[in-house]
Amino acid sequence: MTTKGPLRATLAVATVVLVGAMLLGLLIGPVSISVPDVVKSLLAHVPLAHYHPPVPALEQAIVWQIRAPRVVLAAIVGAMLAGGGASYQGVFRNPLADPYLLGVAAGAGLGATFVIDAGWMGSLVLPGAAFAGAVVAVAMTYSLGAVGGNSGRRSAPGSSGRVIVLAGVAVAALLTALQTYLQQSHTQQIENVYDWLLGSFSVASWSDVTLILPYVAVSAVVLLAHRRFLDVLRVGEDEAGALGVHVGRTRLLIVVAATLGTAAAVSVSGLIGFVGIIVPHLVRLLTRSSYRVVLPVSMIGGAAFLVLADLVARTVEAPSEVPIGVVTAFVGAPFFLFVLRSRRAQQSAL
Amino acid sequence: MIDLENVTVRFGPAVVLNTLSISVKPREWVGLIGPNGAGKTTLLRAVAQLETYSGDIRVDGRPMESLAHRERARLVAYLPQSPELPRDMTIAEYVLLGRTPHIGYFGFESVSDRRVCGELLERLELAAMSGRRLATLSGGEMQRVLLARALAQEAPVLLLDEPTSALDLGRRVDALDLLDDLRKERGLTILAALHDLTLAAEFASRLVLLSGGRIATSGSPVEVLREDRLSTHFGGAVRVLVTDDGDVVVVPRARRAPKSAMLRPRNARR
Repeated sequence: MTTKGPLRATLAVATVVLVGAMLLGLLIGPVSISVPDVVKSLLAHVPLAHYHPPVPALEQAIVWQIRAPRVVLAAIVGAMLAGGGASYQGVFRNPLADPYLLGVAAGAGLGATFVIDAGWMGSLVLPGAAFAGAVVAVAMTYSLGAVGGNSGRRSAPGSSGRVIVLAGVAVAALLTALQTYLQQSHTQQIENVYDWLLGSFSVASWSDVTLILPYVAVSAVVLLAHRRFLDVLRVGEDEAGALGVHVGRTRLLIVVAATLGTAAAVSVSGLIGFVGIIVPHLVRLLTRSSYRVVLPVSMIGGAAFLVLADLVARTVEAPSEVPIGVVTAFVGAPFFLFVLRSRRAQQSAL
Repeated sequence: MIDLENVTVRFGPAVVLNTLSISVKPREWVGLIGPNGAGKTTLLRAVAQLETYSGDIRVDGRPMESLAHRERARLVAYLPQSPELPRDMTIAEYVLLGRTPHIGYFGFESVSDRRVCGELLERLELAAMSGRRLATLSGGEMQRVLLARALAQEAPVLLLDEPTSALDLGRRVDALDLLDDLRKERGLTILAALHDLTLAAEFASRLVLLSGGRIATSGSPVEVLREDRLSTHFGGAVRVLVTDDGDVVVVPRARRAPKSAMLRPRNARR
């Protein structure tokens, strides 16, 4: 009758994977630091412990000031993108939905390009502009889509969901066109813009973490609280309505939460593709499709996935870095196809 | 229990329900019949608040439009003709969705929600297969699962849209028998669109014949199911037979040639 047993087991496995990925992320880098030294360097930052490790200050700084924020930021962004993707897939009942569906990426890209071209690249200006661009883009999509969906029969909440998705495609196209125009008319900044668009954690700091953590935390709590609603929605918007769910209002709340969290995430990481769509589907293929499982496990899995992807991004061509978006697709796509094929084979053998 | 007064539904310029008024008494089983496009589904959806309408719809004396979504769903359970079925959901999970109107906004199912569903699964003989995925069920099993989900809402009113259309003859009778038993056990009021006129006559205590968005006639099966009326509204020839037990049987008649004429040449060959 319950999903609790398997859910706990799956969560436990995912958490172990995440912790392992984060430890690897802390251990591996151009300067080799031993496992005990890494652990000691971390322990030095446990509040109230007053522990002073016998580790050289430089190594401590590498662990705490360079690697740790990078690993933590990748984990937060990965969790948000995967959780946002799973929520969008559920709320729009569209397996191809990702957190960028309603224009977050296009809006953030436009905002970032604008301030980079203008030469305002302060530590807060760039993420602020990206965040604002993303939020404005989704607000545009939602207001345009909701107007289109409200005309005619009230009975068509299903189609109003589709109208919003279509409005998202149009808004994203419009903003991407503006962004491309801006980018091409300021060729001297094109490399900076391009770097941002492809996504990277190369300059991650603890201030980035504290900047986005409140948004991501609130978003994650709201999304997780709706995982039962996402399951109800699997019977269709009409039937969910007949079961007493205020579909329009709840959908808006989920979209707002997912948008704020995703906008915050991409504002510091740039546009990392593929995580939001591949991780939830991987979780579905490996476990099952109830959102009570998919949503929390996607968040943990997305965190682990992005930490590992970032590890690959900064090590394969060290000392230079591969854009993390390239890694997520290059590693993620074959792995996803492998799981997809083996699962299909298993199912048809039944 | 269900009161519609001057209910009108428009889809653009088309008037699908036209100033329609119906009252269904508590514990009554009313069958909605009528040709395709008569407005049966729209009427059920309007009561379930899935269509915009003008006029007044009350359930248990309360105006549906002004009730909160959850309150509506605690009064009325609606089963569409072809519900969307998440293929890999288990029976138990699916039936538990029926508890949604009893669960708070951020809440999850309680022990008592699970108990209600457990009892329903027992009653509908689904308990032994409660872990099976919906994709693996036969039509008859699926029908019981859908009914279980609707009953899990514990609403006094059931709105059913062609509840037996996917079933073979034996399973149709089983399903309607079960429904009738449940109606008596739980004091349910049922408003159901039924395609099969003979079965409608067998199970419903009252029939409402809809045609062109209006009520053409309503009353006991014998009163409503008359050859002339049915021919007019369904646009085809039918024969209505009444058995010795008083059961009404509706038989469609082919328009091209009477049956006796088709049989004759075969006899002649002998």
